[in-house]
Amino acid sequence: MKIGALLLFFSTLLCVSVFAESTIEIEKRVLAMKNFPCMKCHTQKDQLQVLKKMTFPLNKPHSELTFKHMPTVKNCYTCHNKDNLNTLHLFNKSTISFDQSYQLCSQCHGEKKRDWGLGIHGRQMGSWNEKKFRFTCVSCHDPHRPKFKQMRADPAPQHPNRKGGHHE
Amino acid sequence: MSEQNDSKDPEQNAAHDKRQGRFQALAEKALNAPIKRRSFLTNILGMTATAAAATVVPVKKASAFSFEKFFQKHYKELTPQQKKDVFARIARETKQEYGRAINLQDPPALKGVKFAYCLDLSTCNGSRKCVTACAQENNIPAEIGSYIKVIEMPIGSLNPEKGTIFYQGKSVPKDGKYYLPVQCNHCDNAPCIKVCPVEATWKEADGIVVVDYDWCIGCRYCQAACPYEARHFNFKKPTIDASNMNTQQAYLSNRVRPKGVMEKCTFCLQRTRKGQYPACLEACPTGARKFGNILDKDSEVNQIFRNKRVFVLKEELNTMPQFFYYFG
Repeated sequence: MKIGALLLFFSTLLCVSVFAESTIEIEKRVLAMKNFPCMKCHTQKDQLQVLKKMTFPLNKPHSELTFKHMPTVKNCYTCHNKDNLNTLHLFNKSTISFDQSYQLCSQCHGEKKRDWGLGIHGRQMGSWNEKKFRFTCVSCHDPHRPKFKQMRADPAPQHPNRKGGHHE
Repeated sequence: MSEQNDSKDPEQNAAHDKRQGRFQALAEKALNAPIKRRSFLTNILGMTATAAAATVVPVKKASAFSFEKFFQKHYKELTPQQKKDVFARIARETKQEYGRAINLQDPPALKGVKFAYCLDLSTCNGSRKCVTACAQENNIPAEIGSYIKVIEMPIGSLNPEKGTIFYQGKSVPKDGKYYLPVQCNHCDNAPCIKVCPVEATWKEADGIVVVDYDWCIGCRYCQAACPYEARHFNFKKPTIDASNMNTQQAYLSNRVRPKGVMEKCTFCLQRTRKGQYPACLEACPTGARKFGNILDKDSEVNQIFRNKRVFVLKEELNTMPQFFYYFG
């Protein structure tokens, strides 16, 4: 009786530990999106009709949005689901949530998706031997203009000859 | 020496609740014991240490010379009790000097772990966030700057002499450049360890090359021997902003270094031996840095080995670095 209870306890412990080791938490995009849910505004039928013929710049709150991903793609509904804007859709017409947006990216960027799945590409937080928190593609790359933005570098080390290091 | 330590421990335990009695007992023991050169000195030291702990002595300026430090043994020869005393002394000195209470630890090397670092050169954008994070995490004074150097290199060259570390960047990455961050490579066949005349630096079981700052004599041979310019010397007493100090410190890693010793990157062992990622990795905005246990087949570094072509710097020197570069 006692041994059985003990066995059960350790087996559950083992299960939990094995589960914890293999757990990689993927970032939830829905929580990070500013205007989510989209259907908050995009509800009316006529508005959806307007959205069909889009010209940049878009109306507020998407006025800052520019599209520099693929020169041939002009249609928002290549990725966004026209019928339910809270979701995205793949080329095979299956609907996915914004949390699974990496599936959408992987349709073209298969090699990067593989690397990302192995933890080679992209940022990861957490612990190297335990639980990891993995960022998705869109937390670093804006899907509408995915090239990584240029940023300001932190100050340079001091040059031994010229104080302040005035180069260039 | 060991005989004395053995006899000292149970006595201390017994007298723990009566501090005055303990002091007396120690004093008596010191007077009654047959006088040997070594035990005489250590007994006196033990007395002064317990006296300082028992009675609240008004804070004095920490002097550059302390008997405790002078007679301190090599890190590998310290007994657990001696380690405890040493850590208490360091914490006390830091408190006196900088007014900050530190949590000084000594996490041991993890079993079955060999740390390796991989860096994706096609992703690094030269933003120097790692450089800043490193300086903050490891309490590095401004004179040294950081353990990481980011070299701005012209595309098409792997010769570090063609690059510069003094680039200014309002917007990086610049056209026609790539960025090569260099830090300690934690070599398996490290020249810096070979040249040290006092064995103040060694490779730990998990692959981290560390320095015992209290054993280092400051000869700078290792700085001359290192082909990666990974070692840095404290020419003067480090100037540290006490209010900004990282108080989570480790003996072999980011504690405040004295004047005249070498220091280097330790893969943030105060973090990594507790399971965290190094500070430079967490600061990297592009995710170019990858760290983990090379023996674990599911780790990122192991996967990089399987799927990418990795290379090391100055391979011809046969230093066997554990810091790998790849183009992702």
